[in-house]
Amino acid sequence: MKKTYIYLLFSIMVIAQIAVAGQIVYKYERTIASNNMYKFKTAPIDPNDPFRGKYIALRYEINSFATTDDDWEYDQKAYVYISKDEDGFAVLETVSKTLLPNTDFDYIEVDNLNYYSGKVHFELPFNRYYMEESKAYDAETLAREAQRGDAPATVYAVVHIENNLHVLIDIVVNGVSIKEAVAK
Amino acid sequence: MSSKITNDLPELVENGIISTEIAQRIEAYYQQHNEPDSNKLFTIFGILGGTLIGLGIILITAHNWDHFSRITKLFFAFLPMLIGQFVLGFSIIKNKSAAWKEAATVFLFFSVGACIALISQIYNIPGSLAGFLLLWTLLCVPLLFVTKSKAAIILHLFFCTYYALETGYRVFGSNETIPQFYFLLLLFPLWRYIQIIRSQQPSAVIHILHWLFPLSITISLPVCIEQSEGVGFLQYLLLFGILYNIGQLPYFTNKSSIKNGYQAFGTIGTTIVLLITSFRFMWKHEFDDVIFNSLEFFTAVVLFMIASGLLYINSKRFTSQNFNLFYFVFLFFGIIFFIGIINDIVATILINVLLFALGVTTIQIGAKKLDFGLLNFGMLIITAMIICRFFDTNIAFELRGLMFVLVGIGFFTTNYFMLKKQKRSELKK
Repeated sequence: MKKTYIYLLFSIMVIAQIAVAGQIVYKYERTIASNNMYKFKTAPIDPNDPFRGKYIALRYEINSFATTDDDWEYDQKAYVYISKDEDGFAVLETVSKTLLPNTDFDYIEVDNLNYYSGKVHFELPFNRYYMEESKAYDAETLAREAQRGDAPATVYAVVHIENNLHVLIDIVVNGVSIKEAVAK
Repeated sequence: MSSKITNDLPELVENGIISTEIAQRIEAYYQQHNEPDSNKLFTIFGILGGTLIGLGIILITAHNWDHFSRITKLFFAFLPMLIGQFVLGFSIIKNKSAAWKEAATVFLFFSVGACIALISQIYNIPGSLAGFLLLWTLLCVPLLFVTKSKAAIILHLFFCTYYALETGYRVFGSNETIPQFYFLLLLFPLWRYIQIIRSQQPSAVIHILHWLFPLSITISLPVCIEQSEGVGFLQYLLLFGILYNIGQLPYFTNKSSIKNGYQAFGTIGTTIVLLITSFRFMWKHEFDDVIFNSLEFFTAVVLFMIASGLLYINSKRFTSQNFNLFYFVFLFFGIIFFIGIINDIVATILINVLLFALGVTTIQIGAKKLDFGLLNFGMLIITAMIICRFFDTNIAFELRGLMFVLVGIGFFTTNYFMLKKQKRSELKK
């Protein structure tokens, strides 16, 4: 290959690598900057990812919607529309197979749908919270213990949502960030 | 090897076996074609170093440093990639040695992966592993061409196979990415591989690639299977037909079996598929889900066309010396496959006849060529076939025992007679 082509190809590669990585950062930073924050009540467990490290896998209380429509395919996409209550907690408004026009509600795209007992079941996509490996197990135990007993504590995920983009930034146990709670 | 030849040159000249002029020409040839060994070693250590540092960075980032701010984490996510780009750019502009370029390429490859992984971690992006591997490999495609790195070919091959494993073997849940992108990813290292073959530069890496490419495709073929799993057997047999026929192309003539992974995959793979399909229950139950209007069947047609094309090229060079039933197995299997959809008994009998014929012809060729490997491989085919038949027939135990003894005696006698024949022919010489 000619030297000029090599330089050109190399420059394109460098630009592409930086631009693609930069674009992901920009996209999520913008979502955080929008400051459209929701709280989602959770129930965490703890697995592993070979490249990205330890994370807490999260399940949410918002995981199903009662409907008489039973025609939901497993690999179909759907849109979960939510609003906020006075404390900032997410409230499920509706689940739709298509994007709803003229609505002020924020929405989250979900897949892997399952219909049974008169409800369509789904999993919210922001279901991973990465933590320092030494803390992930403790965090899981802490969150699980906190939700047991007679007066279970509130555990929730803080998620910024803007134009179907969502960034999970924290998990809060009893009003304290899980990172700080584990450090204690 | 070459150093041994050049070391022996003075002795050969002294004894009048070659002239001084020829000795000088041989020496000049090896000087021109061989890199010094120290350079090769340096390149290997460079690649190893690059790989270890790159993997180390991935592990360090996977730790997830909770007490760093988001900006600090982002800085450390981009830093290794920027360093890798700088070092690679430097080695290209200054035209540094192969060791430099290979090490920088490997390092940059891993640091791009680390960068994307760390960004996903910082923003808790739940994306699939397959999507991550796809983006990572695509962003590193130019690495194959800017430095002509051979390590990059192996890395690409490894990661596109990893991608195929992630997407092609999914039993539950849907894929976020398209599994057949594997072929797109494979195209780039394949292009470089063919370039190296055509340049005819002597290289040890090329012999490794002759094994890695068929291995990758064999592992990844399930990306073309969605619902009609029965067609998978047809696909695999056609693929092994292709691999066998590639292994017989003029390029591989006069190359030892150890340097011809295609031939090994072709023969062993074909035999295994035939053994599996030699059971009647396979034809009775496994091929119920054959759908003609499917991705599986389309892939099978494409594979059949490629195999036929290769067979046509090879057929021009057929002589009584190199003729072998393995060339045609895919054709026969194609026909038997369609018969099997209608009638399972006929298909089972035909597969067994085909398998037996393969075993016998392989033994024949082995005996003719005085090749112990081939002879025993043929015997092995027949033995495996007999063992398989024991599972689905009601033959009495004493008869089974007797058959095994007979096959065992067969192994000994054929090898013994071959050895005698070989000794006789050596004596004649």
